[in-house]
Amino acid sequence: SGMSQDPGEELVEGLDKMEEVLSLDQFDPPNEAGSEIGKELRDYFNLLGLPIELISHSFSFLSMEDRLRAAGVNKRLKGIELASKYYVERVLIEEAEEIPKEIKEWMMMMRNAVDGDDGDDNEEDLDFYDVKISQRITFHKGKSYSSDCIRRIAQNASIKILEIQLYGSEEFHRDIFNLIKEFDGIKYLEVGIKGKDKEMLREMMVDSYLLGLTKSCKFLYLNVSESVSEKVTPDALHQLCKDMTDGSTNFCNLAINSLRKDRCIELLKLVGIIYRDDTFFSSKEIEVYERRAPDDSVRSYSIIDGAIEFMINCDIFECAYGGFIICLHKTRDSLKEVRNREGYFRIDISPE
Amino acid sequence: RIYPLMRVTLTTSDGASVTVSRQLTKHSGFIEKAITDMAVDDNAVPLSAVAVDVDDATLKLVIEWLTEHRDDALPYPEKTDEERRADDIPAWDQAFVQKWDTKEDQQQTLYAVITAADKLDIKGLLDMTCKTLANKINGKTVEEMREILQLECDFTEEELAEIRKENAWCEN
Repeated sequence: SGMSQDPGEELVEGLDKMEEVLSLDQFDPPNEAGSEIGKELRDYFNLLGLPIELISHSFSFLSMEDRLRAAGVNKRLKGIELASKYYVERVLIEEAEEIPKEIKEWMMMMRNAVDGDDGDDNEEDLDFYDVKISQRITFHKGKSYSSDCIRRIAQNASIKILEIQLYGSEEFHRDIFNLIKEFDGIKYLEVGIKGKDKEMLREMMVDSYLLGLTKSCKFLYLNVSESVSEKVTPDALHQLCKDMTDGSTNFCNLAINSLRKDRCIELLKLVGIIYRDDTFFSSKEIEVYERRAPDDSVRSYSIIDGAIEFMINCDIFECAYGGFIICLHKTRDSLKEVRNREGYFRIDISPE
Repeated sequence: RIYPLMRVTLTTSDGASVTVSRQLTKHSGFIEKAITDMAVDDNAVPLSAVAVDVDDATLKLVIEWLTEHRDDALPYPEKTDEERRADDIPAWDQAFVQKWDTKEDQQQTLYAVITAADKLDIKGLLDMTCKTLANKINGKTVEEMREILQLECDFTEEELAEIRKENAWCEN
């Protein structure tokens, strides 16, 4: 063709660009001369002339920090901000300190345990430590803060990963721990408290608080000391199992870094599984898989009871505590993975 | 399904008119709906007329943007449960905005294009221009935001103290 004779001529695929648009030069002149963009706005223009939805849409591209600051500009923006919802990939509420290595390792373990938890392929991308922290809320000890910003976030944000790492016990921390329950639609929630004084979280960790936390998220990791996890009752866990099974909650995975072994055993008893002298007894159709460390010092059990899996990981001879997970498997594939988990072998159970 | 040769004549709020390919107008929810409402046979009636409530200078910019983006995927991929960011505006769009979003212009064209994108329901253009607006206050202090947006503070001293306390963690 004539066009291809000129190597510098770039062809638009299919149709020539100018033909397609006809030409901008073909714009017929307007009736009145001197049309200017936004001429009617010239005298009083500012961006607040935009409809609320458009301001809200623009702000939805900003970080949480920017948005909370923007709410301090004037009353109108504050009103718009209060009414806008937003999505945050990962929030870390912390008192400045790095996450210890061993906790990161734990997290990886938990992640392996929950892979494919609800059969949604995207779920596999939930790689906790690859998701960059898009929001880091850092409180410095000794400074005075208001927990209202957390309340605002609780009301407005949908969050993929929320981590809370606070130290010691102060009234402000109590407010924050209470506010976690007001969050809605968090995918992954990690609650932890450090420092010597865990009394506050221990005091708060009643059944209703734990169940309240599970209402605000899909995956809860309690990264707490034994004195706090001691307050977690078999009854509360049993209730949670029932809620997860009958679909009355979106919650699907609870992980506790350290739970008393006898509590695990009591819970199993409540669901109809007896553990005695290294043997599982049940009249239910359950499957038990076991993994032993080479020196047999640590044993892990994975117990499948319908769609629920219990995982217990403990140094069975020395320690009264172990890691504990309750997981709801929503698909057959997810259960199949449990059955084929590396290092685990099915063991016999005895009828009651 | 859309016949590339089909034309649409757009009449602006100030009486100008321009004829463009359906390849461009298919990205405008408003124009698409207007054409659908006319229930015309794409083959039988090759030219449709749609009145738009946008002035002709703004419409020229909209058409320029649509021409560049005529091959964008449809339907426009809307992000709901996904993190939104303002720093992913494509290079062509950035250069396009820089041509007219000048200091002298005082954001009037931006205002006009955002409004036009909203009226014509062109989601890609709306997102891009709203991101441009967001970028203006990204990382700015409250005082800077007031200046950029030309807004007066109308909080009382007490309310300001409360806000400062609330935002203590994010004051820069």
